[in-house]
Amino acid sequence: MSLCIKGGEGLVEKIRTFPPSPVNEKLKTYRKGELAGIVRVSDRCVGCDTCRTQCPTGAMMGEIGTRHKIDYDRCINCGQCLINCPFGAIEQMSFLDEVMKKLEDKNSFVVAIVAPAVRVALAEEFGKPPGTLTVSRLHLALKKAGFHIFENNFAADQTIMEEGTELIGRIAYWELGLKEIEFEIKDIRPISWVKKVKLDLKEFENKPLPQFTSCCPAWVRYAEVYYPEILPHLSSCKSPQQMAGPTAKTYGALKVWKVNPERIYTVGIMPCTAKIYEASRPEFDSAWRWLKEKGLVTTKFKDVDAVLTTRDLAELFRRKGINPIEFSENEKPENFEWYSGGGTIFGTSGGVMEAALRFAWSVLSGQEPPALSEKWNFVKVRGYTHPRVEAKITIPLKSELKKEIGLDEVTLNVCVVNGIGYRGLHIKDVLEEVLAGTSKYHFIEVMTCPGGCLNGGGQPVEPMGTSWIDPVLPLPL
Amino acid sequence: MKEVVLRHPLSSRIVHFVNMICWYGLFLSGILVYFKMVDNYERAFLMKLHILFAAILTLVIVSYIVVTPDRVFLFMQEVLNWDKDTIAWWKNFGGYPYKFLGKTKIYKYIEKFWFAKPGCPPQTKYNAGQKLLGLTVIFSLAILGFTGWFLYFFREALGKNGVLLFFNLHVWIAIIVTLFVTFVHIPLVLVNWPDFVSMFRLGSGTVPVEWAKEHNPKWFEREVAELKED
Amino acid sequence: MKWFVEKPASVRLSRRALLKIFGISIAAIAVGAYKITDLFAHRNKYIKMRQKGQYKDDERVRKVYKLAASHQNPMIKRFYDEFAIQPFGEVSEELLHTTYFKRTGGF
Repeated sequence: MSLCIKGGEGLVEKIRTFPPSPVNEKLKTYRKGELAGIVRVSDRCVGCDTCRTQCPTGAMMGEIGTRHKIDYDRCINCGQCLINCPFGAIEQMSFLDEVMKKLEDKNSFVVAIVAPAVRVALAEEFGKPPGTLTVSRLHLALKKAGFHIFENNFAADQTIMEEGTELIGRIAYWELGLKEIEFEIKDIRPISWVKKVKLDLKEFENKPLPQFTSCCPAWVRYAEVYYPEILPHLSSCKSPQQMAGPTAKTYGALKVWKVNPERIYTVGIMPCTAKIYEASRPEFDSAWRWLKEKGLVTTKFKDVDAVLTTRDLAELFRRKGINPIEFSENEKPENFEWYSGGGTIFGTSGGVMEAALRFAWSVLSGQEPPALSEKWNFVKVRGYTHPRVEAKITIPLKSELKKEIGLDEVTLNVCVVNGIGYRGLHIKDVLEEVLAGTSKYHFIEVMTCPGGCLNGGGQPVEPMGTSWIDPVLPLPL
Repeated sequence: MKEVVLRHPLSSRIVHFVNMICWYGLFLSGILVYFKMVDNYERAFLMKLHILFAAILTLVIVSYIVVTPDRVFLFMQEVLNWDKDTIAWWKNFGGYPYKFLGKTKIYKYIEKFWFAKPGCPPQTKYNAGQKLLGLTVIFSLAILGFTGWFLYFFREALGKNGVLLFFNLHVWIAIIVTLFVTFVHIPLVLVNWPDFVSMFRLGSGTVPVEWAKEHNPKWFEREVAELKED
Repeated sequence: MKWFVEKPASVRLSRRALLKIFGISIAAIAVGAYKITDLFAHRNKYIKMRQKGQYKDDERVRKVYKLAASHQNPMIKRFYDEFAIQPFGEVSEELLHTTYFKRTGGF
C-alpha cells in the first residue's frame, strides 16, 4: 500500500454518481425547484465517522459504527464528507448523462464554464501529481469533446470588477461618509484604457461593512440557513459561475459568438458539489428575464443549465476517449478564454481577497507596475493551510482621490476564513463579532472548503490526504 | 507429600482474565458491527460497548506495565528467548502430533514425516508454541490498541489511506488472532489441564511439581526455588 | 505440602534480555511514531501542491500575457466597453447581482 503522493493511487474507491432526482423528504430550507441531496450516503458506509469530523454544519448524522445519514435541511452541499470518505461510500448527483446527450445534439451550442481549480486537479485523474497545470490542453480537450470555452476565470475577473467596486462603495459610504464617489479604473498596457465609474452611494445604505465574499455557494447557503442576519453583509455580486452563465447567454450569444441565446447550453465545470445546487436556485434565470424584456427569447431557461464536477469531466473525457494530458499547452487564448492572474487564484484560499486587493490597490493608488512586480502580490492574505488569516493592508491614495476624500491613505483590515471548519470552528467568532457590531474588518473572504475550491467536494479524491487543516489536538469528539 | 510450584501469580492471572473477557467482548461487538449483523441502533450501542471494553483493557494493561514491570519484563524475556531447544520443538511440534495421532491408524501413513516424530526437547517456562502465542498477543494488542485509539481520536487527521490502512489492520488482525487463540490456544490448554486449572481456579496459581518437571524441566531446574513446607 | 516459587526477578532477568526488550520496544515505538508523524505532517500535502499549481498559473499568466489584475484582462475591457458600460451599471445590476433569502430550518 502506498502512502506517498501519487495521482489517483490508493485503496479509496471511485466516487459513484447518480442522476438528478428529487428527495422524498419534507424539507424546510429549500425553495421550490432547488436541488436537494446533491451528496448522499450509500449503504456501503461502514460508520468510521470520518465524515462527521469534516462536516462544517453538523448535517452529518450518525455515531461510530452506524450507517451515517445527511440531514439535507442542515446540509450546505459542500461535499467535504464525500472527498474525505476513506471508503468511497458517499455518492454525488451527476448531470453527466444529460451533458453527453447535449454534446451529441447538433442544435445545441454547449458552453463549458471552466473553474480555476479544475486546472490544477484534473490531471490527477490521468495519473499526474496534484498541482499539474492543464490550461490550454484542457481547453483543446474540451473543444475536441464539443464544448465552447467560457473561462470561469474571466467571470472571476468580472466578479472582482463588481465586488471590488462594491467594496470601494461600502468603504466610501460607511467609513468616509461620502454621498457619491467617482473614480477611474485604468490600465496603461498595451494601450491606455480608462473606465470612469460613478457610484451613487445611496444604495449602500443597506450594504454595511464588513463585506463578505459571495463566491462560495456553500457559504452563501450557510449564511442563509444559520446566520440570516448576516445577509446584508454579503456582497450582492453573484458567484463567478452565475456571472458566467448570463454573460455567455447575453453578451456572448449576441456580440461574441453570434448565436441564438436559446441554443446556448451552459455547463459549469466546477470543483464543487454546491455549485450544482447553486445553479438550481430559482432566481438564477436573469439572462432569460433580460432577453425576454428585449423580446429576444420566449422559452424559459436557466443561467447555468448543468454543472459537472471535475471528476465528472474526467469521466466524460474517459468515455469519449480523450486524454487532456496529450494536448499542447501553448495555445493563445481567445474571447472568453482570456483571464488575469487575479482571476485564476480564485481557486485557492485567500485568492478572492488577493485579486480584490490587486484591483482596489491599483484603482485607489493609481499605480500600474509591470505584471511580474512583487507589488501585485499580497502574500499576507494567502490562506494556504492556516485556518484563518488576517492582515492589515495600507493603500496610499492617488492625488485626485486625496482631494476628494481628504485622506492620504486608507487602511483595510481583511480576514480570510479558510474553510468553515468543524461545526463553524473557523468562522463562528468572526460572525458573532460582526453581529455584535464589534468587527474591525472591512472585507472577509469565506471559503467553505479548507484550502479553497481546489480542495472542493467535486475534486478528484486524493487517497493519501485529508481536509483537516487544524491542529491534530485538541480533539473535537 | 504433595509438591506444588507457583506458575501464575495473582497479577498475571487478573490480567489474563480481564484480557480474555475484554478480548471476546471486543471481538463479538466488533464482528457484529463490521459485518452489519444487527440494526443501526444496536450497532451504535455495540460500538459504545466496544469502546468501553477497549478502555478497560487498555487501563488494565497499562497498569500491569506500571505496577508490576518485573512481570512484564520476565514475560517478554521468556517469549523472546528462542534457543536451540525452542527450534527443536518446532521440528515436531513438541511431539503433539505423535501424542494425538500415535495410537491411531493414520499414524502409519504420516510417521515418515518430520512433524510426526515422538519426543519433546526440554522447554523453559513456556514451550515454543506458547512463546509464539505470547509474541502474537503482545504485537496484536499493541497494533489493535494503537490503530483502534487512533481511529477513535485522530480519524480526521489520518487521511483516507491512513484510515483505510488502520481500519483493515484493526479488523483483520483481530479476526486472525482470535481464530488462532480460539482454535489453537484454548484446545491445547484444555489438554494441559493442570496449567488451565492453575490459571483459573480460585486458589493460588500452582501446578504439581511432577507436571512442571515433565513439561518445563529447564524452568523448574533453573528458575524455581523451594519456599516452605507446611 | 511442599511449595516452590520462582526466584526473584533480579536473579532471573538477564542484562542482555533487558537490552533486547528495551531495544525492540523503542524501535517499534520510534518507527510507529515516525510513520504517524509523517502521516500527520503530510496530510495536507495535496492541498499545498494544488495551491502551488494555482500560483504557478498566476505567474504564468502574468509572465506570458502581462495580466496581473482583473481590470487588465482584454476581454473584461471589451465586456465593459461593448456591453456592461460600468461596474454597478444597469446591465450589471440585472445580470451580475443578486439577492439572498432567509431560510429558517428551526435550528
